[in-house]
Amino acid sequence: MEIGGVFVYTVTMEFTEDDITRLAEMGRLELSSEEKATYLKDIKAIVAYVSEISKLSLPENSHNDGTVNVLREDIVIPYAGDTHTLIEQAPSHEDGYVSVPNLFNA
Amino acid sequence: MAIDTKKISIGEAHELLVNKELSVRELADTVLEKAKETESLKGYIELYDDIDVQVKTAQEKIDNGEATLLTGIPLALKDNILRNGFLATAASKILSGYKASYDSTVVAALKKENPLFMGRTNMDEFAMGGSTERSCYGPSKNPYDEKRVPGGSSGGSAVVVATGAALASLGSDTGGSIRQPASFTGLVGLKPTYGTVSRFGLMAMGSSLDQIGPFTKNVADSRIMYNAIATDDNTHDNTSVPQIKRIFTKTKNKKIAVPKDIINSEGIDPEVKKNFEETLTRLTKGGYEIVECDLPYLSYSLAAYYIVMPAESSTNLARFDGVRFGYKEDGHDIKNLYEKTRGHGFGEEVRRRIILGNFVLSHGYYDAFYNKAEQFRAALRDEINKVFAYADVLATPTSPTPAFLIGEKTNDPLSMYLADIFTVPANLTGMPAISVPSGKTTSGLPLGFHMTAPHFGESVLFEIGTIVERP
Repeated sequence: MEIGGVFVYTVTMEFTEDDITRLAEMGRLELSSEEKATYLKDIKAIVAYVSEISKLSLPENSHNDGTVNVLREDIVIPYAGDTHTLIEQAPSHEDGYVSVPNLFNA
Repeated sequence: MAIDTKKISIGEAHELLVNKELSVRELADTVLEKAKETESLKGYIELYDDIDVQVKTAQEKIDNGEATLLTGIPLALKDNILRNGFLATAASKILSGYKASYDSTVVAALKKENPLFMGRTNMDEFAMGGSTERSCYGPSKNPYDEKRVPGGSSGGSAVVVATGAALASLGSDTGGSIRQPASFTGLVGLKPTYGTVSRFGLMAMGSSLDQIGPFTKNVADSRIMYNAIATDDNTHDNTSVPQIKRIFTKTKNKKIAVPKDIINSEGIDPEVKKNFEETLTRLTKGGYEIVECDLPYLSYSLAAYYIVMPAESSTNLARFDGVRFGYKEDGHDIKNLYEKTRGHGFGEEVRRRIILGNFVLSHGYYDAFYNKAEQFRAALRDEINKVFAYADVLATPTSPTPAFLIGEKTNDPLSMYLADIFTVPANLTGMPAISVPSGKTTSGLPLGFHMTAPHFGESVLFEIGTIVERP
């Protein structure tokens, strides 16, 4: 389905393997065809179960559950730790930089 | 002095240590011996390699008269709680070799008391599971019956305390992952009020649901551990409610509410039901009145949970991409690198929940599923709070069955999910909840009694729990 020139992935309640493929792609997961078949079966059953909730009628003011987001000040706090240690964690790094495949000439 | 770490409480060990009847070294060695004897149960993934240094420091504190309750006490940490300089992998291949570069707030708080951090414990990968069968290190086993699961996802943390390989441990609870393994292994498991224990340094699963909490042998120890970790460190950490806002007024209701429909439902093991009723009778003798209540929303909790939790975890797990840390698998371009890394680095259940999470958040379904579930949480909270107007706690068994067999539920994810029925409401509403050992089945499997209290009402859980745990 296209909205304003952008493809929006939609899935139908009649789940197909294509739906699983698209959902897996959203999550950047490579799946084998056996895995797709298994997940199709599982997701269908789980979604059927959780769909119960869409039938519930809930009170009008249910949106406020009393929790609030706690934000910190929007100021720069210099990192007190050791960036070297962090960079070392990366599977590929070079000269103090994390390295990735070329993003622009794909 | 010889001690039985399967029986000794934190308080008792503390007394022996400060009275010099026991040295930290002796305590550590006893616990290490237990760990070695029970290795096949896979409670610990790995012991930390700095225990000797910690023993020395703790003993010095005791010798200088500076010991606090937890000084020298052997503790264990679930593999998703960060301890600076040590591996933490959430039992996932995708975090192989990842070393924490900072302390979680709970570890920093505990460090001030100089306990002994013994090691990291086994869990379901990324806390997704109810049996600790889905760990990249292999399953943990129940010390009461090695053919059975210890529960999950914090199964390893339960095993080490149940076997005396630690005197207490920390787990995390998103849908019951502390309370259910506690009930399967005869321990007290507490999920604190959302916001009372910092999540800084806990690998996030469902950020609006997660809480770190303790496994202990008894309620008194649970209180000790809770007090130690329920700090309000707000300097760099927005995940804790300030102490002054943690308001709870204890009532003199002395009433225990039981949701009648749920208790009488089919999937509950008859021995579980019998034990639950016997526990209620004991509470009646302890001066409490049992009242039945009607909570029509309660039975929808699982559906709401299995919408919210996969949605939040699929978001939280987006950061694992093979670029900044952990496992990496090369691909023909960046997208393929992500797909291969995540497709092969994440286990089966993790990928299932990511797919499910993406579905409930996708265009056209977001309103009917995720939004609806979020509205439901507020409605459920209001419904339960109405019960707390006249009752102190809501009580149920912790789990519909005792510990099940390894492999019994792995082919049917939905049947595994349904076992969370009694524990998820507390995560959805943020209310504190506890599982207290309440007896055993005829074949010797532990059973747990579960209570949910109003927000910040941990003291009520401890008070009533003390009666439940009496033999």
